Amino acid sequence: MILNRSNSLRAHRKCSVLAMVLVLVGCATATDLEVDVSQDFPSPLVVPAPVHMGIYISSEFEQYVFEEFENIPQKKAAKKSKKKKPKEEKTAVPSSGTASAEEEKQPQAIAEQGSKTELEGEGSNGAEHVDAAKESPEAGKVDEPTAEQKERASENTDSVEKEVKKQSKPTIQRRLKMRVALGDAQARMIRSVLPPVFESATLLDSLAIESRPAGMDLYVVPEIKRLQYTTPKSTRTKVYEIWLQYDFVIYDRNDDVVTRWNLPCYGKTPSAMMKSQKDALQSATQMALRDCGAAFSTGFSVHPAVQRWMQGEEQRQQRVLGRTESL
Amino acid sequence: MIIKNKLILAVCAVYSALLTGCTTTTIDEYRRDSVDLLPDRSIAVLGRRHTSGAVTEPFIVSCIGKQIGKGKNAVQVYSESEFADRLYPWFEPRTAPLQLDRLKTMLAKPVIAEEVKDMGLQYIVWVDGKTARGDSAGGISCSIGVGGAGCLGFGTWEDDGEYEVSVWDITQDQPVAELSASAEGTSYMPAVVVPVPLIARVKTSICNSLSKQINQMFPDA
Repeated sequence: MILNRSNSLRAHRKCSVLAMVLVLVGCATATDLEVDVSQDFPSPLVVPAPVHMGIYISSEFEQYVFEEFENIPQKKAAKKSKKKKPKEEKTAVPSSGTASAEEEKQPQAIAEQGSKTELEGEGSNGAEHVDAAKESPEAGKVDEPTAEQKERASENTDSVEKEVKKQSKPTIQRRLKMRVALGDAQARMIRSVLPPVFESATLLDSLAIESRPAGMDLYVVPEIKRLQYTTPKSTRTKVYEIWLQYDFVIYDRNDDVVTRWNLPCYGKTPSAMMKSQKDALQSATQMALRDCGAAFSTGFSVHPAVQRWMQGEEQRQQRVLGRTESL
Repeated sequence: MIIKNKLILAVCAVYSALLTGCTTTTIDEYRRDSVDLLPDRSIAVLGRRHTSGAVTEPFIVSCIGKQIGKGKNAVQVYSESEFADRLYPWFEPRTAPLQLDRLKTMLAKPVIAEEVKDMGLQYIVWVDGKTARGDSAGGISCSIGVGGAGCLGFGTWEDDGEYEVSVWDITQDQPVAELSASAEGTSYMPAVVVPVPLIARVKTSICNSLSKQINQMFPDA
């Protein structure tokens, strides 16, 4: 009887320890969102523009993944590195000269990790309002020694050692916080929403001149420039929001840029109640993509640069007609 | 065994019916004219989400749509998603008309007018508003240990809902009816080992009141 009781107590303890571990692991897990591509985007109800448009979706665009990392507190990172690689820190000093090898390895590792990722978080230090932009190549880098530090290091070996000791500590260790695989969904949106906007549209496999169909007037290349999101943690509302910023680069048949149309799009979940973070961000992203489609389909024909090009094209055709008539 | 299950279900039903907080709903109505829904014509119930702050909950919108679509004066109702898909991209948060004259401009486009005609649409019911958490008091503390888990305390909070409904006849220049509804509900959560939530159903209460009022507008439907 006593033995049975002690066994059940042990089992109980194991269960509660397991539950606590699960809770802790759950707290530390990153949000990994594969945007649902099963949802169809409706065909826009617009008067097609009198243009034969080529649509080119790059592999970079189709495979786009947004990743955001968060920093682990310095002390924890330092403790881990001391335990794991105590020898490397010492041997790294002479080989690198000014900065430790570990520090040099770190950005490489991050670069390799995010090789498929075009955009990375701007190091938000745990803030929930996140912004990732292509224009910020510094975003994924770890602090590098400044020129001043390099000069000092070459002049004084003692100061070098001190400097190296400081820098050899892995000051930033990063953990994946948010991952949004948007590529497939945004490519699907482009393929569904854009063609009905034009009288004739062709999906291009490449931008090579020989692969373009005859009579193609323009071609558009969508590029994603920015993804931002907010969660209820930062806004203190029950709303998840997503901002997407696209550049629709429209070229004419001579490969000259007609316009670089910057299109911001916005989506939000009206209520985060009873929804997981993943579900809420999923529906916000879907809304943002729909918004992009709406903005493009209603805005293309009235875009000033497109209108100018159309007027020019009309005049050119009239001139050609005039010449053929005179002949 | 079956009797026991039925008994448990009955107890649960009574328990859930009794365990709700208090809700007070006030409805104000302004009706310009008599609203006559023509036979074979339909209604669309849509939520306003044109700004970051405008976050009409889909629950309220779909609830009103469902309530209007059933009962004595049932009319054909388009759900928000179906309507937005059929008239994409003209009823997205970015493009949806805020005024009737903007809708008229929109309907002047033959492609949209044709689709609206196919749908047999006569009225659009716009729902704008939200339910926000008001004052809260009390506190509950829970703990988990080797011996088990439990909570102790008492919490209470208020939910305030403010909604405005505008009924547009797509053939007229002014809204045919405007309703406003406000509701306050107080929820309680006593906790002795297990927390027992007594939730005030503010949104459901507003939905029921507004749907009843809208249904009364279409007596001959």
